[in-house]
Amino acid sequence: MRDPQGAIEFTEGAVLRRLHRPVGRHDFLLSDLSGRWTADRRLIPFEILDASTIRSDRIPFVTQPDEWCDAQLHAAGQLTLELQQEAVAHGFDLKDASAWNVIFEGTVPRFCDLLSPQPLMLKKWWAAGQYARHFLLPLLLAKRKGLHSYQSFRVWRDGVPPESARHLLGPGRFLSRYWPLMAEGADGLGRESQRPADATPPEIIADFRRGLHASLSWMLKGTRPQPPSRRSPKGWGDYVRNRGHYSESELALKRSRLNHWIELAKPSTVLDLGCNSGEFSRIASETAQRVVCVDGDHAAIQQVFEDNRGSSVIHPVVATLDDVVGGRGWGGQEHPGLGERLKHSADLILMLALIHHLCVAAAIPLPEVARLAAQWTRQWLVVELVGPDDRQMQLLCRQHQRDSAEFSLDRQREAFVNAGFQAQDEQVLDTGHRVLLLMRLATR
Amino acid sequence: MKKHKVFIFLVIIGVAQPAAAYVDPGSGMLMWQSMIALVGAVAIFIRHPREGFKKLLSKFKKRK
Repeated sequence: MRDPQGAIEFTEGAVLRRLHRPVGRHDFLLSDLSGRWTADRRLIPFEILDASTIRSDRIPFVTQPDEWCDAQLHAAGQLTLELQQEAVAHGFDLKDASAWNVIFEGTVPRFCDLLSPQPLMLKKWWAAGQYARHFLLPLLLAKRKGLHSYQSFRVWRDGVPPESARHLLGPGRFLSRYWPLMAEGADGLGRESQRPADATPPEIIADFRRGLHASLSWMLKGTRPQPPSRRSPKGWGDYVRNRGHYSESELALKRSRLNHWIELAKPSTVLDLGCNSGEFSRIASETAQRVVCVDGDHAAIQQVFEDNRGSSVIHPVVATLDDVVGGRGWGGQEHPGLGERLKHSADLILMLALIHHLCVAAAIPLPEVARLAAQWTRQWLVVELVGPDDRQMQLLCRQHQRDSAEFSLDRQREAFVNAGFQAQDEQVLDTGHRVLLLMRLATR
Repeated sequence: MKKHKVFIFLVIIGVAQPAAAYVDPGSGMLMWQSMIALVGAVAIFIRHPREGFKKLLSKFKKRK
C-alpha cells in the first residue's frame, strides 16, 4: 500500500498491482532472475496482465510479523538477505527490507514485494537501516533480553528503533558485533550524500556490497534462535511430556476419534486453537490442505515451526486468544487483525483441552467462547469439554477462586448449542471427566 | 546593522532543533554502513586470503 510506484488492490482470489509507470524492457519483472525466484517459489508467482497491471494469486491465509515466533522472523530475514545478495549480483537492489514483505506459506517464507527490486545504482544499500530495524534488532532483543520479536512488532510496526535498542541493551551492546546498528546516527539523523549512479564504478559497488552482505549475514547468524531443547523444552512446548492427567489409553482414544472425525468432515482448512506443540495439528494436516495452529505460548509455536519446517500445510501463529490483536497500520485497515482474517476461515475448528483456560484462567464467559467458535468456523467444531471433577479444571478454579460447579458439562454443551451448533457425535474419555464432542453449525 | 545580523544568526543557531521528522529512517545506517562493510570485507579477506591478495595486486596494477 505504501509503495509510491503503484497501488495495490485485493479482489476475491487475486492481488492486482497497478503500476504508475509501465513495466520497462529492463525491469526486474521481465528478468531471468524473477523467473528463477518464482520457479524456486522464493518469490510469489505473478502474471503481467498488461504493461501497468501485475496479477498474483491471493494467498488464503497470511500471518504477520507480530504473530511470528523468533525462528520465523529469522527465516524471513535469511530469505530477504539471500535475495538481496542475488539481486546485487544481477544488477538489482531491494529498495525495501521490511519483514512485512515476507509471507509464510505454511512454514516456508516467500517474498511478496514484486516492485522492490530496482536497478542497482548506489554504493550503499538504502534499505540497510530497515533491515536492521525489522530483522537484526528484534532478533537481538529476543536473544539477549527475552523480548520476543512478535512483541517488538506489536509495539513498533516499523521495527525496533535503534535508540530503543540502545536503551534496552545498555552499555553491554559495545561488547557485541551489533553496536554499529545502534550507534548515534544509525537512527536516520546522520546525513550522508550518496554519489550519483554513474560516479561509482560497478566493481566498487559490488565489492562494497559483498563486504556489507558478509557482515549482515554474520550478524543474522548470531541472532539465530536456539532450536527448542528436546530434553527441557520451555513453556507449553513441554506439555506433551507433562500431561499426567491423561492416561495413555485416553490419549490413544482421543487421537483415533479425532482421526475418524477429520476423515468424516474432510476439511480443507483446520484451525487448531490452543495447539500447544501441534500434536493434533499434525493429525489434521494429513487430510487438510491448511492447518492454522494458534497458541499464545511462544515456545510452543516455535516448536511447531521447527518440527514442520518445509511444510506448506502447517501455519504457526503466536496469538493470545483472550487478547487478539486488531487491525494495524493506516486507519487500522492496512494489516487486518487476526480476528478478521479468521472469520469463517476454517471448515473445522479444534478446541482441545482449551475451554477451562479460556473460561476459568482468562474469565471469558462460556457463551462468548462458543460464539467465537461459531464465528470462525464455516461448519465443524471438535471441542473437548472439561468437567468440574477434572483435576486440571479444579486446579485452575482453586487458583482463580472460582467454583468448578459453574462449569458443568451440561452447561458447556448448552453454550455451544445456543451458539448454533448441533452435536453430531461424542466420545467420553475414560476417566469420564472430559467429553470430546463433534459439532456442526446448524445455521449455515 | 552588522551586530543585528550576528544576533539573529546566533538566535537561529541556538533555537534550531534537528528536523528528525524530515529525515527518512530508510537512510539509517548509511553513516555506519562503510564500517560494517569493512568488517565484512576483512572477514572475506581472512577466509580467502589468496583471492584477496590477487584482487589487491590487480587493483595496484590497474592504478599504474
